[in-house]
Amino acid sequence: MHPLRALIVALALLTFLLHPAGGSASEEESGLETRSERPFVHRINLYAEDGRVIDPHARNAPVFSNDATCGKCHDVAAVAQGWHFNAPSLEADHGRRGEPWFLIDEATGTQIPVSYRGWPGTWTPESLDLSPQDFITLFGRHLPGGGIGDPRHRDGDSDDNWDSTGNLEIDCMVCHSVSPNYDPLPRIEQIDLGNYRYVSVVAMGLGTVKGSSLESASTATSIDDAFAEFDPAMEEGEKKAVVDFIYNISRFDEDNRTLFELVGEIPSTNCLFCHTNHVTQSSDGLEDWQRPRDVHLEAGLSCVDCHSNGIDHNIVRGFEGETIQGALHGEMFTCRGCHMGTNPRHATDVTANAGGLGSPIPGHHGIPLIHFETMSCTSCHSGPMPDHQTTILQTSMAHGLGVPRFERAVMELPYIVQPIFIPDQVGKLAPHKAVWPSYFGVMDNDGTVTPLSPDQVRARVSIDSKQKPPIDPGIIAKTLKELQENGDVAHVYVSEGQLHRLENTTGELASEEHPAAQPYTWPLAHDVRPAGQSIGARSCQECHSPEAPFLFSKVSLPLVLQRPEPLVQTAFEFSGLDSTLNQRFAQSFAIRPLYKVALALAILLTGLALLAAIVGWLIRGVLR
Amino acid sequence: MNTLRILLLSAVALLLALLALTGLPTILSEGALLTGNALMLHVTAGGFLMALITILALLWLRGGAFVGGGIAVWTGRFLAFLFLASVAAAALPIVIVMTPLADSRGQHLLLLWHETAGIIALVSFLPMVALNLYWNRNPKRNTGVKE
Repeated sequence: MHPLRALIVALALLTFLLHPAGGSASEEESGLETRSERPFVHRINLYAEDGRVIDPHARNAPVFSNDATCGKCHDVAAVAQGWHFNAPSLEADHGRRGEPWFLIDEATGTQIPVSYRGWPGTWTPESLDLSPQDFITLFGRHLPGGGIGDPRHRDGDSDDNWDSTGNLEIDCMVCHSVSPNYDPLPRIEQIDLGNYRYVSVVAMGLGTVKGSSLESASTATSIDDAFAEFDPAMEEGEKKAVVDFIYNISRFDEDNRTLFELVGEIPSTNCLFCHTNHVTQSSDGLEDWQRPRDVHLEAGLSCVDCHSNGIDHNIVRGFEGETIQGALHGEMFTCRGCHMGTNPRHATDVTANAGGLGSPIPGHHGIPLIHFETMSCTSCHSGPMPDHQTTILQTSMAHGLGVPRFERAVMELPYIVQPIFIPDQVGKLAPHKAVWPSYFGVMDNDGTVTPLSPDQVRARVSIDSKQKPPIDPGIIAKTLKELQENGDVAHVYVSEGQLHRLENTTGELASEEHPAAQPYTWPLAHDVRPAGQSIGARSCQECHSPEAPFLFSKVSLPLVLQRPEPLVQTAFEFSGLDSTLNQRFAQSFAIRPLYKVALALAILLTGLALLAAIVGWLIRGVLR
Repeated sequence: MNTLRILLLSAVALLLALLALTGLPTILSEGALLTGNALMLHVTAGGFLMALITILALLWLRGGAFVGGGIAVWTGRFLAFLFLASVAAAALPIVIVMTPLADSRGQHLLLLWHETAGIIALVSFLPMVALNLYWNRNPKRNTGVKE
């Protein structure tokens, strides 16, 4: 053979050997894809954590893994970096302040905002001596898995026994399931029992679990009778297992496949399991059924139409200036992006891509442009109509809404107050929710206050567990005294914007303003009211009058600490606006109609005078 | 009569200065907002200016405007006309916005209109006063009697 021909043949052979299937590496690595708008019917096999396909009929069949099963086609590593799972990540961009978790305890009068995201005003679980598993025990009811629940996908380590509990993997079905069989309550039960690896299978009704992974194997007594009957051939040695699990084989076909009833477009009801807001106390006197829902939901939109995401699950939060790794993120999904188009230069300019999702393009007739430069859309369009008193709110994350229990009270910690109008992340006035932290804490010499968790307080002093807010100041003083006796650091109690400590001389409780007592606030965006019900739709005086609730409402602070008088602040104290100036400006609106007429008359008269001058000159010219 | 005119022109000058002081920073620096006390002063000064301009316009007409001739007279007459017209033009968008007849986009254009008319009024004021003072030096001219 000619040497050149031999070389070409050799190269061709080498190429073939390196790419035997003839496809590119990226094609081989990607999962199954349909690229159709029609949802794929997920009748699929289940896979165990080690990647083996599961035979649900087999004895001791392993529990399925979401990561392994969903990861067959979907990039779960990318999903794991998404917004709902990246709270503990040090690299993630945590953006503007959002709703934190709240460590609460009625007996010690504790409500502490807690978050792994490091938002100013929150405390990390580590600082409160909460391990990841403690955190899951407290808040797992509304955690979708991943993040702190899965040591493989987060930074840091802990002393928790993950081998026993398993990883709390991302439970894709929490959000994506549309099956009537998917029940989040058994999922919560399994989290309480420490059976993290079983939460998905139980919630989906694909299997049954007995026992608790939190109990050590040595303390386990016997396997449940029903399970003993189920598996009489089980060896005695195998009965060490504390948790027993079997698949519900009626849910599988002859090929061991089961149907995952899921959708990509997540229904709003699934979002609302974790994101419900419930007004429990307001002065408008409306019942729940009388309160209007978010106008977008009423118009047929779902949460994910705006709070959208790609496979990375970096869900658009939808605030102005939201960035992911320095780049503007989801600009077209903000209020302005959808209704007015994406033109970052002019907040009020309408661009060609305005009216997204069939949204009306707002006219804002007669509203001076300054309003759009100094106020967020939500100021006028979101939340409850500002009244002379603020409202008390309960949320899924803070109050465990969605988990049934008896005797849900109107006032339950944490006390969330809304709306409070304060500048947002871009300096625009926006409605916020607020919680005034309450806790026992220690104060350093430099005045820095660090909270004590309720367990840390109980470890040092005895607390009457039946105690409820508002707590008698005498009890707080007594507790502080006892805490003081057990250590040489200064102990304090923080509540309703004040720091309380024992006077050295008298032993009385003394109060003072302190930065640590400042409220934790986060923006309020829902429910959005229709244009006709926005503030200012009827008249300017809705805001610009001396009695306007928007600027002059009374914010009653719900009391954790008993006080002789209610604590009331005016909206101005939060907004940073000049009270006197705005009072004067509001008063000027009384003569505004007269001003309009006078100005119009002045223009008319001046115009007529000028016209008369010209006409007079022309007539004289003609006569001359 | 001349004393009254001078007093009125001084008042106009004062109000114009106030309007310029409060309004120009917003025009000159992108991002600066006309808010708070500056806005209150601007609006109040604008209201008083309109009242004075109306009086001035009526007096000007009554005082024999467009009678007489000469380049200085015609220039002064033109500047006076331009000044009065631009002040009225600057006020008109405010009435349209307050009525309310314009949407946000329309308000952008009206704001440009307001600012442009305001600057024309400001620029035309000083030469107008100078030329009219020159004009008023000769009482015959002021009465409209031909030289």
